[in-house]
Amino acid sequence: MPMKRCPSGHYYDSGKYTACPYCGVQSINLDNMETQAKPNNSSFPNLSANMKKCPNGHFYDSSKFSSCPSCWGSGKEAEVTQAKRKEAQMPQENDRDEGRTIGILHKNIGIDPVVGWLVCVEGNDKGRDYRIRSEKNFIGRSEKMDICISGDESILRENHAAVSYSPKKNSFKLHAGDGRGLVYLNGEEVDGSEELKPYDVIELGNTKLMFIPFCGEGFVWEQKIKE
Amino acid sequence: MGTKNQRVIIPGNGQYLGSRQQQQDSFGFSDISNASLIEKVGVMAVLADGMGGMANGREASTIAVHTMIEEYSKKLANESFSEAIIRAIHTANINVLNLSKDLSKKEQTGTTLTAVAVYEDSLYYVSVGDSHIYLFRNNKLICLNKDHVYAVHLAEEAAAGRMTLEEVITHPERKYLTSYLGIENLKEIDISTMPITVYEGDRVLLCSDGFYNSLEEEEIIDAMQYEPQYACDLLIEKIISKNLIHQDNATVAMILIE
Repeated sequence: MPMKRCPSGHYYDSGKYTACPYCGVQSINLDNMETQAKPNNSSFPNLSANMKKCPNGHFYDSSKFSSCPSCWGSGKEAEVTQAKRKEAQMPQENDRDEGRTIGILHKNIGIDPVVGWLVCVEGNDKGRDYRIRSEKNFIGRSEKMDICISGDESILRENHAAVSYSPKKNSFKLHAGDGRGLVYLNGEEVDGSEELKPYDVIELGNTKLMFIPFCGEGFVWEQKIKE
Repeated sequence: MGTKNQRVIIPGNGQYLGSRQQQQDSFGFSDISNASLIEKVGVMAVLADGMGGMANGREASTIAVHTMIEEYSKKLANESFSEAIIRAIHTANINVLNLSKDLSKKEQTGTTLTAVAVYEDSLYYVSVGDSHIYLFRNNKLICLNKDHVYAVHLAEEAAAGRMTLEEVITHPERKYLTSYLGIENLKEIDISTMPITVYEGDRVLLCSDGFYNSLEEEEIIDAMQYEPQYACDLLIEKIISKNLIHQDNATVAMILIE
């Protein structure tokens, strides 16, 4: 496999890509593409049946990438395919940036106040409490989760279930996750989402969690804190 | 070619956007086919994860990677390898700082940075932030660097009895970085105090948190039986196949020492 180094120091298979797949638009040089094409005396020897041209004029292996890798993140795709993205109903930025890398200087920007708790009443983490904050709180074994139940191997790493608090409605809900792990509310399987009431028991894997609200009829945070 | 003591280095790399709108990870290798460069400084691999909560994370990580390789390549004859690495990372820090000043953005710009250099049988590393450097040897994966995350400080608080362990694990700011490039006073730098002796068959992996958070250790180890580029492709495909909702940018750069 002929590995080639691009000017940015990335290595790539030059038999598969005409230009570095890790670089943005700046790496596409039409002169280079021509010179590469000459030795074989055919116009684009590297273009297999799977090679596709994106609206910005880049070639990429469509069997490997669902959209042009050279356009990802370069900002250029926005101009060309903005309309299409709207149609496709891309997730909102907030959803997509969950868990992003943040500097500590930003930690003082505001607090995300606690709105309730889950308390482990059965399982390896029995006795431990977990804070629930506004909007969706994803539950899983991974440290990345909002509610990380690390002691139960039978809980999915990510998004086994979620608990949400709606500041608008001042109410809580339990949501089933998208993986194969099931979640039960007071012994009943949850398909989509179910309203949570004080002292409800949520069961996932070998763990039972009791729901204790802080916000509700007796108390509500003023909206400005969240904003 | 270089002197007979120089190791042959085989690179591999892979990258995945994940569910983000921008690729803010950057990586790069020094030229492994440049014999005079190898004779002088060996080979360097660098990886940086630009900070997504901040503007221009991509630019910051790109500048950091380029500066690191360029400055290290200028190693002076009277400089030790560690000194050259330290000088390079401080220059990278200044360049990232200047970037945020140039753009006069309200938001800070920053990036993590991990770099390794292999010269003959010696491996040197440096890291700021929470990207990882792994050494793979005898079918075992060892993380060489420490994370600069707030959780480390929280754990110290817990050890001193000022917090409970539960509070540490659930602390909302536990993953915030305490050190990264783009800080006025860069003090917290993790650097190899002594060069690590490398042997034939050793591999070194640099990766961003979007990579190591999405893979189990055994999955990484399983891929190590293949040559570096194929191994990187396999691991990235593994992450893609998991289809995680909140998949962060994932990048891996690997070298095999022969």
